[in-house]
Amino acid sequence: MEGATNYKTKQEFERLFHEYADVVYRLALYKTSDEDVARDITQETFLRLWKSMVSEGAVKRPKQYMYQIARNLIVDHYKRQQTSSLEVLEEGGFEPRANTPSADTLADAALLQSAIEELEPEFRDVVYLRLVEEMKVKDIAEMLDISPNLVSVRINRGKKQLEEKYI
Amino acid sequence: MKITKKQFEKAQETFLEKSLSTGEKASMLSTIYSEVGAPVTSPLSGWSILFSRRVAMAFLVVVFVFSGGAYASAYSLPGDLLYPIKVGVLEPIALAARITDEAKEQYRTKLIERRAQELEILYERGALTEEKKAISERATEKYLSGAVDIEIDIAETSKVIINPVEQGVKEVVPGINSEVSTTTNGTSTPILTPEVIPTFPNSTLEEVIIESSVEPSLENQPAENGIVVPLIPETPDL
Repeated sequence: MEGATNYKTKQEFERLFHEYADVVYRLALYKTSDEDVARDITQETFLRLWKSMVSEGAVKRPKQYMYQIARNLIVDHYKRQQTSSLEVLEEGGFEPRANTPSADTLADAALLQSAIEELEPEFRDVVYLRLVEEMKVKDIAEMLDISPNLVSVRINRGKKQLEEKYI
Repeated sequence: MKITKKQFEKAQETFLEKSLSTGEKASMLSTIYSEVGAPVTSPLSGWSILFSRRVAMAFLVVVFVFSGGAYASAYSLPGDLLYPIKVGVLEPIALAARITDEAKEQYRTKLIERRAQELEILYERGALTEEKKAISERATEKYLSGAVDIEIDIAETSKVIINPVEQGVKEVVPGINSEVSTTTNGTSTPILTPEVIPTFPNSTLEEVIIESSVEPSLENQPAENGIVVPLIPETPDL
């Protein structure tokens, strides 16, 4: 019986991986503009999810869990980057990144970031998930742990704010 | 930075296309499972598997295995003539021959790792092309989805092996049903009725199949210049 549960856990994990690996990767890429970092964050996110699923059998809200892990890892990355930038400056040197992302990737991510990050904080996540990831309201609600109604309201207001900022 | 709506929509469209490659996903899963083992067990799936269509195909492949072709194909790499046989027939058969779901999952994970290893070998030889990468990725796709069991890729392999083997088997085993089953891709394969399927011990079938799909290694791969280095079989990983 336990074996069958484990088997189902793995199937569920792989389903989530196939459905959300790219979503997490793009979120990390959007936030960091670094392909290597985005890959690392994606792998770490799913590693933590897998560990939780193995130890607890099932995660109650896996989408929200994944999103939170990814967000935390992105924040950690920025914290580490700030520290290392300071160290680099103190040493007076600069070492370029091993794998520089393509100009297109940077340009797209930067462009989207420049537009979305100008919105009020409460609209940023919903606008990103809706307009960039084209996710359904229900999924966004589950991911952000807010009601679908609130998601819809924020999407509409966020869109309006965004349109006001266009040239 | 002020942007136009058009610029935003274009960036949104192209950004959504960015995704992890199949190889990257396979490598991630492999790393995740190597850090925290995959606990997969399930009750025996039953002896009825012996009478499934896959076993009928396995019989055809066993003939190929004994001919030595399978041994050679086990060492093939993406782009090689025998590679479709390895990934389209031998590996799915070896997978089907594993009785428990646990064994199946372990083998599937192993195959994903093997795809990454093959790319590594090609890369080290400087022979990794986009085409070979695409072939490998297509092969990996089959094993990435845990929910879907693996189908034998008859389309890719029938021209090379199945049809000649089928002919040979018909001569050896006259009781083969003349019915054919049509697969989703339109190719046809003969069906063996249970009463005419020759029975052979499980271990024999598994040994043959497992041996035919041993891990490729840098030492015993045929060299790129065409000189065939003698193959030193590794101990089969049971």
